[in-house]
Amino acid sequence: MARYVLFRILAIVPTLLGVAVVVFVLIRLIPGDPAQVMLGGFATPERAAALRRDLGLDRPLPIQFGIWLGGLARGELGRSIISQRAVAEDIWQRFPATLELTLCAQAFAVAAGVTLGIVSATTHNSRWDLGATALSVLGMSMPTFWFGLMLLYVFGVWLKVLPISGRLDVGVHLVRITGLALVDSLVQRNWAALGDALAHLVLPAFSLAVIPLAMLSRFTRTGMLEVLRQDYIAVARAKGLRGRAVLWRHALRNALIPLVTVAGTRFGAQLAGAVLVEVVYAWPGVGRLIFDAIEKRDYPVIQGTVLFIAVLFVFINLATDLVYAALDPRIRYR
Amino acid sequence: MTPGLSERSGGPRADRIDRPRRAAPRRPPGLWHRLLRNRLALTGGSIVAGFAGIAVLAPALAPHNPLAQHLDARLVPGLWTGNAAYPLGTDELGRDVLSRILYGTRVSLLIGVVAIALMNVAGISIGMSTGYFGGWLDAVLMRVMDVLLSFPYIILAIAIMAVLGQGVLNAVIAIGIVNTPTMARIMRGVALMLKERQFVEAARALGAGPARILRLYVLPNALPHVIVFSALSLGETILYIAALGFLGLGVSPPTPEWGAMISTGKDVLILGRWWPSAFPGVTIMLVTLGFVMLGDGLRDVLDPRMRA
Repeated sequence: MARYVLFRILAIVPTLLGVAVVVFVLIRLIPGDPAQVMLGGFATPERAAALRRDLGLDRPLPIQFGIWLGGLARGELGRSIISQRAVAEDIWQRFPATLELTLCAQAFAVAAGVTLGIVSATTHNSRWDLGATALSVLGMSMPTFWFGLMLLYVFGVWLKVLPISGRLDVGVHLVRITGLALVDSLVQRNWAALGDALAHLVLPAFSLAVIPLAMLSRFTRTGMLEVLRQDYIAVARAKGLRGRAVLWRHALRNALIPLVTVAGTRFGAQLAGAVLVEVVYAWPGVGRLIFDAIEKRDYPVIQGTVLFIAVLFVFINLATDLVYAALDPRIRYR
Repeated sequence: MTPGLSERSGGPRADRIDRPRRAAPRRPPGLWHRLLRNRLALTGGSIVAGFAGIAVLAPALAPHNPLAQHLDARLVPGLWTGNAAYPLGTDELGRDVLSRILYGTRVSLLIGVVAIALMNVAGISIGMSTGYFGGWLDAVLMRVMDVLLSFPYIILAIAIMAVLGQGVLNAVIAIGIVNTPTMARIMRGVALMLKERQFVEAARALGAGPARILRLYVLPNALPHVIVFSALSLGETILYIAALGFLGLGVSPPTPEWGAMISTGKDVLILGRWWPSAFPGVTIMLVTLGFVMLGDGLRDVLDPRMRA
């Protein structure tokens, strides 16, 4: 196991380097002079030259890459050309909001998706099963952001029962400790803020949860059906075990292992999906940061946030692989 | 194909359904029959065919010019209030939502189909050559593919579009690039498996070069995978196109595009005008559903082993 872990961890070094190269090259692919493009209507030859010097664009590519990589090693992601703030700091400020949204969505998706999948599998070919399958297929075909908007309309505009944007109402004060509104309000026993934060979280989290929920329910159903057909389940039944014991102790445990991979890789994709949901609900996270940067052509911010999400994605995939290997010994010996 | 053969492979109804097919004797017996009997493939295929028809016939079907602004009829509701002039209502500039949706089919299907074609050309060439030749080519190209796979799809597409700028061609490039690594991986696996098979070895023994073997022996056998994966990817691609349009990274306005329609509809949704954003979303869902069902059905028929 130790050897596998070491190998898997070492293997991400070239991947991370590759990710850095792609992001670096991408920003150099801007058609025309990047400095001109960034400055837009404000471009004068002097300003463009100054910006080129600031960004290091006047030096040879390998040296530019070296300087950039050196900065990355020190945790520097460059500076926004609009606000002049450090990109790393902006990300640091906003990431807790994205993390909170993604974690809540994922937790709900796993709980509801697995339950739905089990119900489907145990009532195989019944009306329940058909309904759950239809729901999951619909969920996977739906644009997340559109579903979010429709929820916003129904619950926020029409029924007026839930807030439609942001993380907290203007009048609600909460001292920032972790940046996770739920945790902060719990720690400070600020129940008003907790309630408000929860109310703001419901719609975005539910919108973001739909796709993984649909996927997980489908995979759980397939996995359970496969396991339930195995001989050892028949043996357990033949021994006289109750249906529920067979289901929980024998079937579910084995059906769940492959789900770790699905849930893990989906979690990474969720961070990306959060971009769209954050735009819908004006959620002040990293996704909103990218969106604003795209509108303002703030390339250092785009570059920094894309790199941040990609690196996070690589690490989440690594963690998923390691958890999977810990659960399923066959992987390690391959 | 003799009638006897198809009867044996396809059951008692085969004769009736297969009879008109005699004109195309080279098709494997029973394939069309199985496709037509597969409800998923049939439903999905009908939806996709319907939208393809809409894309072609948009000018004839659309009640209005999709770009025409009727400033005296802004944000009017549609048929549900008895307004037959604008069946799905109008948007914030008084443009007919139905006409824009119908024309939007062209943009989404065009970008989707061309992007998937690009994915196939790039993915098949990379996958087959790396799988067949192995060695340094395999090592280098597949590492590049791995790196591209380590970006979440939509983030990579966003980054590419942010750099290239709006436009149909750029969207095709972005979505094509994003999809290529997965296709390359699939094709590499197929090539690895096929190159050990006896008929490939036999061809090699007869003096066929790599290009001939890949073209005549590996590619035809890999086609079921290509077809199934293309159909499934098209469904996802429709969602990506919409997402890019929603973020303002798709085609340039005022070209009607579903994602962009939802994005502009967002601003009036808060005022209670739900139709400019609701209907494009339903359309996206239908098209995606069509491709997913078609892909699933095709997989069941063409390649049952690929079933998850």
